[in-house]
Amino acid sequence: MNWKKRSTENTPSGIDLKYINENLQDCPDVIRKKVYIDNRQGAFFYFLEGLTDKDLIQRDFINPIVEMSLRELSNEMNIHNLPCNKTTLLHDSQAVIDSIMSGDSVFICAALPFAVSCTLADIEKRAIEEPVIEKNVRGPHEGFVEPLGTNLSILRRKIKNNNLKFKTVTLGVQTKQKVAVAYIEGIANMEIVNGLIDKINNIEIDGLLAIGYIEQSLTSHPNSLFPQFLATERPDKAMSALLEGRITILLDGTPVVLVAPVNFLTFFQALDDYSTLWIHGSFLRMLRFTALIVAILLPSLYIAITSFHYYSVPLNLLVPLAESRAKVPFPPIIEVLILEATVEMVREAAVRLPTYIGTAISVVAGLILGEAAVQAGIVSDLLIVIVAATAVASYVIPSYDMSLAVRILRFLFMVASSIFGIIGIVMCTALTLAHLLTMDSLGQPYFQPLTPLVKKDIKDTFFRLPIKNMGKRQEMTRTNNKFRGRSDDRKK
Amino acid sequence: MTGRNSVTSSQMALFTFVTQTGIGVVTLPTVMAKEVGHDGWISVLLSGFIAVILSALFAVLLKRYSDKGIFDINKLIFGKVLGTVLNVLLVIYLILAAVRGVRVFTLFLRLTVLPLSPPVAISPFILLPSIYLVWQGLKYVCRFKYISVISYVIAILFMALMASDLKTSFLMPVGEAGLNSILSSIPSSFLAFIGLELIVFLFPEIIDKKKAFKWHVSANILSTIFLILVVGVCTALFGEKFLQIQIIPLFNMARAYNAPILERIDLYMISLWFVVMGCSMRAYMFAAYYSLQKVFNMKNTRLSLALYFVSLVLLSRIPRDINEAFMFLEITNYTGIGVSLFFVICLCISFIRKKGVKTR
Repeated sequence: MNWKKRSTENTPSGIDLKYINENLQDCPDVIRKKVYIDNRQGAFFYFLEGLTDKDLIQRDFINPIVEMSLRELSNEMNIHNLPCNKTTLLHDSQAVIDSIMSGDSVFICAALPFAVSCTLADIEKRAIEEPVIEKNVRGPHEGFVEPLGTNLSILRRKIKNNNLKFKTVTLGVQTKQKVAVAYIEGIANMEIVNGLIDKINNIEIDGLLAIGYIEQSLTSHPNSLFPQFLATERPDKAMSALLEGRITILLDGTPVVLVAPVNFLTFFQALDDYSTLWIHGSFLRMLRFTALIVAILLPSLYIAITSFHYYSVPLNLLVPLAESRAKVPFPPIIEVLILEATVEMVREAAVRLPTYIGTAISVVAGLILGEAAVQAGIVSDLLIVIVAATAVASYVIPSYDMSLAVRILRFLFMVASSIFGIIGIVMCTALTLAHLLTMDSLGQPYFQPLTPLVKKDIKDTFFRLPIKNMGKRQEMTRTNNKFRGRSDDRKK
Repeated sequence: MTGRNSVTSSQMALFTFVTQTGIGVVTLPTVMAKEVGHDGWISVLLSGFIAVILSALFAVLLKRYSDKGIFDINKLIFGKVLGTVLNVLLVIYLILAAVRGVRVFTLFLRLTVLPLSPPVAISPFILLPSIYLVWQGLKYVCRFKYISVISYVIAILFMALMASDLKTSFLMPVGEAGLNSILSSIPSSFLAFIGLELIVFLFPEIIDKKKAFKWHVSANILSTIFLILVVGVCTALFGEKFLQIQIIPLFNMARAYNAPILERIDLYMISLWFVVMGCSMRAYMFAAYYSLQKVFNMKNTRLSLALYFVSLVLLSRIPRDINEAFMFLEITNYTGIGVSLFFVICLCISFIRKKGVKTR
């Protein structure tokens, strides 16, 4: 189809049909329908196939327009009376192209001083489902999906309040993707919100394949192992963050949203901590922190003790350990690295498997592999128990990003303990803690409320107190609305 | 002011407390047993009293010069030339104190956990957290000390666990050593309080200066209580005779406990205390590095930091053996007492030479 040849005229507004057609060349998904107004004046409808509802376009956009005379169309009131949910007048060729590309239907007539854009989208999307890596027991079972509009509507449905605001930014020089920054006015600190929006505006990138691109562009510690934004697919987590005065970042095309500012402990919290009784929630919370310690320290402690400090093993355990180790020709660090690396590979492979039952099976398979390794004299019996406990412990951490950080840290600890024994572990712990307390998330201390110590926020850290004892919002968000359950900030 | 070096008075108090108790407490019970037998705790109590008085005098000095640190005060009191010379001497003291920290830390590691590892390999490794935190600033050095509080809590719980093994008869009769012996042992027990002088160097970085005095005195009182507790428990556990032949009684106390099932937990207790020792060592490292920047206008660059820490490691190797290392420790500690007395002299002179003294 040679559009260039046929359409060279300009509309009175300066919308250049030739320019539009040139730019839309080799875009076979763009439908260009020619009509005649008053049976003489040629005009065009543009829309993208697959992104628009053809039936609705025909009924609510094309038919009403074609039935109008040129004089009627010149009257903007008639345009706004079209039975479409959103009608916009465009006066610029590039705006027309952008509108078409974002899935709107556009009507252009050379005799009119404007083009008419109408949103009647019909995008193929998957159903709202529970996120596969963030399951919970007693909370809602819905997750975010890829289209931004749906995600915004999910949040709006949960927070029926006009104070829930979305500021949108278009990112990606090539992809022009929409990013929405959500916050609750009156709770979120506007200085942090505006600072974040400025930072997002300054991101220069071709396109965003995932929200991790935004995260990496915003982070103040790009070389750190630890995540400084909480990534979640759960609307309830996003809602909880918003109510706390935090900010969420949503990107069109991904079900994952980012939450900030967050502290280190946030990555060990889950909805079930709050949806059950406080004792149950506290138990789960403490279980996760125990898992964190096990996941990082257990293999390195094994190496340190078997290499340097065998005297600290109880005698009853020392004898079977020595017997088991006697069959192994490698030093402890090699032994542990062989098995840990195998488990990590199995785990990484399991991510590509169709279901998460596959993950469990794969880990079990890894352990069977380990059992065979014991038989072959490559590793000791005790190590199988240690690596299995470590693998299970690292699954307990609810955040995938934090879990990855822990997995990498584990290897660093193992190497240090193989050289310096328990002092290697102590120094690595000190270095990790030193790093954690120098970090920040959107300018807020990452290790708060532990250091700097905020006593009132301790009630929701390694444990959590009953809901009625948690009347105040956390200090970290620097909110002006400090009390939960009140419409404004009132001093006690 | 919320720079990387800005701290609150309470953070500074924790800084002082950990600096005082981190390293000195490891050998203090033996030092006291050698000097005054089982009456060491009385000597510590008296030293604590002196430390509180000195803290008050430091506070008066700093208050007279508003928000200035000792390097500015020296220039005002002694003039530019003499003031600069004295400042350089103070910087040398701080560097030596930092070197002492590195050496003592390495030494205790060899005596307890890593007897076979070469010190040249251990020293740079144990400095890694310090290098990172000193680079970040005083705020983070102080924040890290919150972590060390866990070690104190566990140490106190551990002492409580040993309560059944303690013999109060080892502490009786009270005052048997005699007043003269107790008084003459005060310089030795006061060595454990070294660290109280650091506030005079770092005072400009405290945000809420009005509360500084209160918090600093509290830190010294807390140090006194903790040191008395450790000396008392060690004496009651080992008895003065056995204590006199030990080198590291605090760690030996950990070894004396036989835990059910686990049997030996001394390794973990000792390792935990190394976190506190690291904090104590780091305090002088930061103070020396900070002073180098103040006195010599040294920039905080990666190169200067690297050269600084390499120098510390190299200097820490100068004492050739354990005896020389302990001698070096003692000399530096006594220099610390000298520095504290120098600040008192500064206070006295400030009443004569009133240049820069706050009028209201």
